[in-house]
Amino acid sequence: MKGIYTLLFVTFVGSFYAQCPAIETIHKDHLKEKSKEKPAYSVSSQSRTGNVTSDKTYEMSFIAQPGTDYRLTTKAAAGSKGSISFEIYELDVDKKMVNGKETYKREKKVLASSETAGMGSLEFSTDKTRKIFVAVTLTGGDKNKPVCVGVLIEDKKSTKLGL
Amino acid sequence: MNKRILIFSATLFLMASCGGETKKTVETEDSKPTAEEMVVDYNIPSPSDQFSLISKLDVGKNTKIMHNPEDADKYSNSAQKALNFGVYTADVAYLTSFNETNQYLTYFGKLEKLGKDIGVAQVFGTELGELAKKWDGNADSLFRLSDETYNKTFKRLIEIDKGTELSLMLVGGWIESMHLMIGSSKGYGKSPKLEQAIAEQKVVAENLVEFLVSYQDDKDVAAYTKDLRDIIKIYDKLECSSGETKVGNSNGKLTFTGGDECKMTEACFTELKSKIAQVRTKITSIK
Repeated sequence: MKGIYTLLFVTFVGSFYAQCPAIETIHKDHLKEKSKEKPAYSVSSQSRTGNVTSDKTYEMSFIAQPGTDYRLTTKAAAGSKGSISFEIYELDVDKKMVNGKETYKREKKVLASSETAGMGSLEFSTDKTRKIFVAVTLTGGDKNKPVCVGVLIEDKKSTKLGL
Repeated sequence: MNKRILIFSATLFLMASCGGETKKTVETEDSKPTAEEMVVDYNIPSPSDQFSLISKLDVGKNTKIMHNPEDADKYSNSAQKALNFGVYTADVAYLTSFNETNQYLTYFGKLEKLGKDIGVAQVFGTELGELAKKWDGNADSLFRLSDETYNKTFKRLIEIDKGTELSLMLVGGWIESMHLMIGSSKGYGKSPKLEQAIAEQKVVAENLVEFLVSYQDDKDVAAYTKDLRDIIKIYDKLECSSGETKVGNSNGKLTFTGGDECKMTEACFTELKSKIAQVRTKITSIK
């Protein structure tokens, strides 16, 4: 009897907090479509999947380096309800003098968003090593049912070094 | 799993010139968008990503400072195996980035051995070993193989819920990467591009610490987190200036330029070198 309860509990919890499929599974159509590109982008180990519920945001941070071209694509797992949007941002440290004291304020500086990228991927490069945040928001769908989103980061060597 | 609550609450920053006398305490305050609590997944680049950049700079290749492959057989506990698996991933990435393929198979064999010990035998299977032999001498192919091995190991450790081993692998990989970068310098002031790249590793160290926060129940992860925080304290002494990041757009491809910038100083370089050497010794020594 105890075993049955355990199984039911695991099934219930497992269905609510379902483990996300691999990033390559979520983005299989994109990866198939782009597979013949030359020079080809590679899937970065900094790609991530995560759960998000309606009107909430999933966030991840990755390191972008000079000398590398990046392509960022976000997608919800197959069968998910609702639509996702994203923005990528940095946290700038703004130095100010307040009442004669040096004060440092962290400010969110949005670098790009799904509006910039349209429906497709966002391609970018950087002149130096940067800590970049990606915020993915789910709109619509079921507020009680988490959706898996995949932040796919692909990279390839730039033809020109930034340093 | 690898999540933590990121709270941008008011903190005190201790700013000082490295090795200098002047120290000033400044207060920080937070802007509205970041004041709320957020759950963030933190990531760092692979050693291959790091060295593909570094190998193009003003560096002197120095394979003599890589970890001794024979030591791979002497580690007895799982923490040391995971840490040194990370160390050897950095070593193979360094070898292939500098077209040094003659030692590749030796190092790859040690990766395979430690990989099996930490539970990622499936990553290696027979295919990767065969490819390593087939591509022996082909630096580009071996470079891709090293990156693939790292990526597959990373994914597999997440799949089998071995966050502690993954954390230690990342620590070993980053410390060895820093050791190899510093050891590839032609001397302070003689490799300015490399020094700048080392200064920019501060953000990598920060993200690594954020990644480790979820695994503080493990005493080894907690101990190395403290070491990394000490390294970040050294980085906090760099000479930094704030600036605005500019976003350019060329045919739909964006370029990010400018923003906050930190410059390496001789005192910081020396202090970093010493601390990295100390932590690396702790990781690689046989107990």
